[in-house]
Parts: sequence; structure tokens; C-alpha cells
Amino acid sequence: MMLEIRDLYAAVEGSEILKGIDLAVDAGEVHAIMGPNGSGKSTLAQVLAGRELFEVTRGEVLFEGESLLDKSPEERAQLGIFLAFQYPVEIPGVQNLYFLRTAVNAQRRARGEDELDPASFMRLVREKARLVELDEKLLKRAVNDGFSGGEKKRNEILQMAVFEPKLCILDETDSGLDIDALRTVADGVNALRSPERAMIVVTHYQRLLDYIEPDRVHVLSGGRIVRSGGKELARELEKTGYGWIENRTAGAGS
Amino acid sequence: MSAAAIPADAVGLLAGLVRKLEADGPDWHAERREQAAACFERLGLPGPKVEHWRETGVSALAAEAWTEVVETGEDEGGTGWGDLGLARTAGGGELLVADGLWAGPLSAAPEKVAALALRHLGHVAPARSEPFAALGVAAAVDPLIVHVADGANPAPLHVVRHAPGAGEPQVVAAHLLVLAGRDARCTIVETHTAGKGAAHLGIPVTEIVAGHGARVVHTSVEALPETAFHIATLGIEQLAASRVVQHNLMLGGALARSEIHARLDGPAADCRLYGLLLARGAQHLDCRTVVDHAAAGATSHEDYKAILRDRAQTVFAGRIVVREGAQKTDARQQNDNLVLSREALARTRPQLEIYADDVKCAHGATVGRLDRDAQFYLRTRGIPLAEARRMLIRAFAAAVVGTIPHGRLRERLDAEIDARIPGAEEETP
Ligand SMILES: Nc1ncnc2c1ncn2[C@@H]1O[C@H](COP(=O)(O)OP(=O)(O)O)[C@@H](O)[C@H]1O
Ligand SMILES: [Mg+2]
Repeated sequence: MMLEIRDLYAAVEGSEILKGIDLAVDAGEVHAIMGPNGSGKSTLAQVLAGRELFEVTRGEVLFEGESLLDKSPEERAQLGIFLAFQYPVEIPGVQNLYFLRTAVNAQRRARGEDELDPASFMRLVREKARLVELDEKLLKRAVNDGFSGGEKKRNEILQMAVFEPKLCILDETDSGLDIDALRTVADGVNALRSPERAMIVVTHYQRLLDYIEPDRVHVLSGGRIVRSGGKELARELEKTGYGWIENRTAGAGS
Repeated sequence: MSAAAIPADAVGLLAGLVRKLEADGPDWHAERREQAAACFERLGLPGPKVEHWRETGVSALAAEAWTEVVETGEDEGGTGWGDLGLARTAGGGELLVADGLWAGPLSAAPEKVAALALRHLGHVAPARSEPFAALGVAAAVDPLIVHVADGANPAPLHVVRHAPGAGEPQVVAAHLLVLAGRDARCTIVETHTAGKGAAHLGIPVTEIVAGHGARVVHTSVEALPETAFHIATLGIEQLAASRVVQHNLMLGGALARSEIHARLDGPAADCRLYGLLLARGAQHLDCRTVVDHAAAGATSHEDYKAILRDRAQTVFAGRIVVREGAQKTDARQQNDNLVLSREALARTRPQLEIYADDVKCAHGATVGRLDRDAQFYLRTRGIPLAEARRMLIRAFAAAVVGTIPHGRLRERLDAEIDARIPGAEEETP
């Protein structure tokens, strides 16, 4: 198993957000995580990436059999975990290209590989920028600084394509995208699908899953996975909405 | 710094020291120095009641037993700032004449340059109202004059200000007057360094007169040991359509203060003041700028950044005056402070006085810590914490460092910035 999440609880500022998540993702698989706003999808994604803000109060996470929770965010990235942020951070004063090169080389160093020489690096970035249709001008600008919503999401997928991680976690990469941008992003993601790579695609809508076909779909609500199924579950949710869950949770809570 | 009372004899001691100095220059300069000494005695040392000295007490320097006044000399190397790959002068006997540039001591100035010096020396800096400007003018026996002829465009000049330190508490004087003629171009770097150990009070005075259409780029680096006192004054006078770009880089000193007084005297003058204060340990770094829009249609743009760690303190006080009739003024001021430890304290105080109605004036100030979200974002890309912080701290300073036209100096500054990055133990949650 590439990723195993067992009975995971996480809290922020004393309030519990994740309340017992169990999830196993194997290499080659694409899992979709759906659910209403506020159900904890981003929290789960950020906990996997190592955000210290969230305190894990119970449970464990194994990545390729090794415990992940005691590792720093950079160590996780160096192991091959990538999170495409729901809200990519703007970093004025740090050039996108410089950032990409620093990141690529930091990952390579950590894996005991040689740094990429500047020419090979530029070739790689240009090729991947074409793949995600990211305007090359944005490479010269500061990271995400003043980028439009769509440009930010493309920039996330560009990084994913450049780093070639083992586990890709996409947090609502589809939100705020028009249909063309959505298709480009989905093409970028599909190009990375491989038997060695796993993906967790967090989304609120079925839309993205028309382009990225998942092997499994999980519904997260109130910090728990309340239903799992095949790709047909996404279509069912499209019809029924999340109302049934809210009723159920409300019923269970009272 | 505490706001303790200033010993009454400190003023007398300092005035006495500067009066003992023998002058080599013209009589008018001796008279001007004497006037400045008298001004200093009249003004005294600023106490805590003086508005713009409230946050920076000078009682510690007043308590020191200053023994002599010296002028700065060559940097024998070792400070790392002496060689920036530019033509150098230390202001001693050296003369440089090339491409319309004359640089040398007042005592050797040609008649025409001496006549200009007579008009401006000690009059561009506020030597009548600011005690350290007065003391600085009084203490400098043989000022360095840089004259750039009309239309000339000489190579950049590096004025090396180094005090080797003699073990005795020394007052270190340095007076520079830059005269840029009509449509002249002039690029000057001034570095202030000193040997370790000795008590040091630097009181440099720099004056810049930018003629009609002249372009002047002046970069000052204060990189004294963290035991020194340094109170620098810069006076700028700009005629019509002139442009002055100034970089004020404050790195060293136990207590360092710079006063910049810019007077925009001609229409369409353009003044850019960039500053970077890097404060650590128990350092107290203070910068006060006064931009005086005395003519219509002039532009001023200030961008000051401070990076603080440990128990360091910084002050930025930026005053903008727009006089009656200075219509179409465009004045902007920004001050950002990056505080890397809990104990450090950054103060910022904008002050706008506007007496014209058709003007654009904007100011902004921020005090913040390193962006946690940005750190996390960089780390999730495999960039180690220390490297992520280094990138963000450099990025913070980039808006100022990036405006410096000297590659070696930029690299040196980036290294100084890197050296300011606190270890993980200082990380505040
Ligand atoms: N930094 C935070 N501080 C306090 N509460 C938070 C924070 N981040 C998320 N939460 C809360 O945790 C819950 C889950 O949020 P999130 O994981 O962003 O949900 P989703 O991504 O499914 O919309 C919400 O109730 C949200 O208000
Ligand atoms: Mg979310």
C-alpha cells in the first residue's frame, strides 16, 4: 500500500476537525474525496502535507510503510508527496523560476541525485509549461503574485509535472476554473497518471471527475468518511447533492 | 536606549575637541566650522523631550570620555566593504580627474570648485538646526569635494570611510560635498567601517547638490562594529528636473541614526529614497527622513525596509512637507518591517504636512513576521525550512536591494541578510 491512513483525528485550536479517517490508496489508483464545504477535506490534505497548524490527536499515517506524521513538510515532499493547494500562496519577491529550481534541486539533493544543470532545468520547465498551457511570462514573475485564479491552479499543476511526485493530492484544483482551463488541468493530471503514481483528488463537484476518472470515491462529512464507492458514487452525488448527508449527520448528532 | 539625562559637560567636551583641530583649508571654511561649533553648543545634545529624538536616546554616547577627533582613512581590507570593484578615494590627498570628475580635499580644490563649495558647504545639510550635523561640519577639517562638470558622466566613485580605531574613544569626522552640474551623471558609494574595539562616534555629513537635469545615485553603507555610535546626516538639494536616487543601508553600530533631509527646489525634481536596516543583538537603528516639496510637480518616492532579530530596535520616521504652491506633487512613502523575534521592536512614524490642495500623497507602514503560509508552501515543495526562510527574508529586502546598481554590493548585502537569519530555536509559533 502506498498510503495508509488509520483512525486519524486532527484538531485546530482545540476543536476537532478530523474524527477518525481510514483510507488506503495504492500505487496506480486515483481516489476522489468529495463532501460538503467545511467537512474537513482541506484539513485532511494539509495534515498529509505536514501543516503544523493542525494537531494530530490520534491515529497514524503510513507512506510506503513508513510513519509520516513525525516528518517535516520538506521531508514529505522529498519522499514524493505533493499537495496542490486549494488556495496557492502568493510569494512576492521570489521569482517563480528561481523557486522551481530551488525546489527541484532540494528534492534531488535529498534523494542523493545531482542537481539539474540550468539548461536541462529550463528545458524541463518549458516542456511542462507547454503541457499545462502556462504562459512562460509567469515563470519570470513572483510566485503566484497577482496571478489569476486559473493561473494559480495551472502553476500548481506545473509544479506537479516538474516534480513528478509519487503521491499527488489535489485540493479543489477545479474550483474557479472555466471549462477550458478545467480541461487543460485535467489533461495535465491525466498525463501524470501512471502505475507507479497515486492520486487523491479532492473536489466539491462531479465536474472534474468527468475528465479524471477515479477508481474510488469517498464522501467526507463532519470529519469522517461516511460513504465509499466506485466512480458511480460521484454521479449519484451529482443528482442527490449533499443534503442527505447533512440530514443524516444532524440526525446522528441530536 | 534609556532616556537618562545628558551629562552637562558632554557638549563642552565635544565642542572643545573640534575647536582644537588645525585647519588646512581657506579661512571661510575655518569660520564656517566655528559657526557650526557655536551652533552645536547652542543646540546641545538632544534630550528625550525633543520630538524626533524621543525614541533614540544619546545619553550613552554623552557619557563616553571622547579624547580626540580623527578623519577617516583607507580601509586596509578585512571589513569586506573596502573593495567593491569601483574607483576609490578615501578623501585624503588623492585627486581623481577623469571624465569631468574632480574629487579631492577642499584645500586642493580649483578656484571654480572652491567657489561652489563656498556657497554650499555646510548649507545643504541642516547644520543650524540639527546638533550632529553642526558637530559634523565643525569637526571635518578638510572635507572631500566631488564635482561633476555639466553634462559629464564619470565612472562610479567609491568613497571609503574607515576608522582603524586607536584604542582611545574617538570622534570620527567625514564631510563630503557632491556637486553635480547641469545634466551631469554621478554615481557614488560611501562605505563607513571601523576597526573593532575602540569606542567610536561617527558623525559624517554628506551634502548633495543636483543641478538642473542632473542624475545622482548615492549609496551609503554603514557597516560599523556593533559597539559603535554613528549619527549621519545627509542633505540633498535638487534643482529642476534633477533626479536623486539614494540607498541608505544601515547594518552596524550599537546606536546608529541617519537623518536625510531632501529639498526639492525645482519643478519636476525626482527623489527616490531607499533604505534597508538590518538590526540584531541589542542594536538600535534609526532613520529619519524629511522630504520637503518646495516646488511644483516634483516626485518623491520612499521605500524603507527593516529586518530585526534578537532584542534589536529600529525607528523609521518619515516626514513629508508639501509647501504652498507645490501643486501636482506626487509623494509616496512606504515602510515595511520584518520582525524575526519576539523581543525585537520596530517603530514607524509617518508625518505628512500638506499645504497645497492638488497633490498626491500616499504612505503605508507594516510590521509583520515571516509569512507562515509562505513558509509552509515552500516547504511542501521540498525546500528545507532554513532555505525557505532565507528566500522569504531576501524577498522582503529585494525591493530595496534590487534598486542598487552595483552587483558586488548587492551580493555582499544578500550575504549580510543571510547572516541575519535566526536559527530554528528562535522560531516563534
Ligand atoms: N485554521 C483554522 N482555524 C480554525 N478552524 C479551521 C481552520 N481551518 C479549517 N477550520 C475549520 O475546519 C473545518 C473544516 O475545514 P476544511 O478542512 O477547510 O473544509 P473543506 O475543505 O472540506 O471545505 C471547518 O469548519 C473550518 O471552519
Ligand atoms: Mg477545502
